[in-house]
Amino acid sequence: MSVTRVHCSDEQIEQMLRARCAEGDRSLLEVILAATKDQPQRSAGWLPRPEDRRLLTLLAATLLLAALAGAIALAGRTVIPAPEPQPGPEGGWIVYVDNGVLYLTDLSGGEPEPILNDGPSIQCPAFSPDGRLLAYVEGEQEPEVVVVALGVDGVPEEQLRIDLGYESCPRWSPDGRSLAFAGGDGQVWVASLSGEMHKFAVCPRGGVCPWNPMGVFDLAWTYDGSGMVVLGTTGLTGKEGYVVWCRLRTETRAPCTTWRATHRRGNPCSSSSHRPLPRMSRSSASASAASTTVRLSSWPASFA
Amino acid sequence: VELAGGGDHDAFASLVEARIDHAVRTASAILGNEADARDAVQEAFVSAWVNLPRLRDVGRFDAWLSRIVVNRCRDVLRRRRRSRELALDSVILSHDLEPDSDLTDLNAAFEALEIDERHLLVLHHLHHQPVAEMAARLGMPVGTVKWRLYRARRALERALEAER
Repeated sequence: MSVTRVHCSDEQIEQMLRARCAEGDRSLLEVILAATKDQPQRSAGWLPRPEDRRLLTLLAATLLLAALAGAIALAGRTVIPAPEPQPGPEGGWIVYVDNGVLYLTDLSGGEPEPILNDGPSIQCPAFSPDGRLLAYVEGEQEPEVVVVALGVDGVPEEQLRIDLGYESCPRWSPDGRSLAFAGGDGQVWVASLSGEMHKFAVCPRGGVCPWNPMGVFDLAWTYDGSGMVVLGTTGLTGKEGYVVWCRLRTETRAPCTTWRATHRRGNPCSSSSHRPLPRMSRSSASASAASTTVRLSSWPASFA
Repeated sequence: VELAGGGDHDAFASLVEARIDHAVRTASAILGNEADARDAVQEAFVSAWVNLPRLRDVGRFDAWLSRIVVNRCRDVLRRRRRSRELALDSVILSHDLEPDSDLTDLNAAFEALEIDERHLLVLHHLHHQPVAEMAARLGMPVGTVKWRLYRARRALERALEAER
């Protein structure tokens, strides 16, 4: 039996939607204004003043780190937050992004040089552990993960380009030979510098994923490169989140430990600058799949 | 938005006037029925007025209002399903277009979609919002919006296959 796949064009969809469409008019506006004119509003309750919000954001970020540290420390580990902007491991350079332009500056105090300023906007720059390579995300509409080598004069030479979209910043493996990131499909991918791609299964023991694997916020490698921590959300509403810790295996049944948490609002990571950054300490170097399961009593405060 | 949240009804009137057309077009495209859409939009704006003082981030007003409109559409559909008011064909396609069979099938397929899927298709294909703008409006990563948009479209095509 053959099945014909139906395809509908953008024009057909637009035509159908236009046919369903009605316009707002003055009479509806008047009805709404009349209905709300004497309608009392609910009280605001306690709301932070704008000047309090910066302090609250700082507090929330501290609590987030503390919550992640707590979760991992329960398994005998601590958290080291990553510095951003990113220093080159040789200690000579710092890269940072301002308004989508990638700047490179050296620690001797020279003027920052824009090294990539004529293309699509840049996000998430990160040096490889040996400082030879720089990975970043390029473009907003069709983002791609790009890896370049920086010459002595800071001129980039492209080494690798991956067009799987992006949902989390690329993270270097400790040996600098692989990059992990969540693609636009919400799946975690591991790319080797030779261009080989592996989909990384984020599922607990038994292979049943507790989450709809869309909406990965961020990920981090263990220091020995044997595993990964992935922070993500579940379901269409994005109301539940998971911290998943998995051994690095590319089969579909990867053994993982899952910490489940709930947050009350939608996806907190609409801005890349506020992505939470799970990090593994060096003391977890020998850690692979932990059998300890820690249940977070609530989603880290900055998500609420 | 801050003034309206503080009880200034004139400020609220300006907000409504600037957004009512977009809201009615969205709701009517989602529901396929002008009367239901007007009810949903009216309820949404009344709810927005009542709850506006509780909106913590005034910069998210449009996303918040859009969510209320979509939720009211969901309520209307629920009520409609309960009362079995499903005779939409006479209302739909009453504008400039000839009711050709392809469009009728596509319309019926659209009726089979979930509200959130309809909303994404309306934002993208009717209001021509780029994915990045949709992501900002919906508070989701760009990749997630792309993926859900793709799934909504596939759901529409599958529903269309079922129609035929």
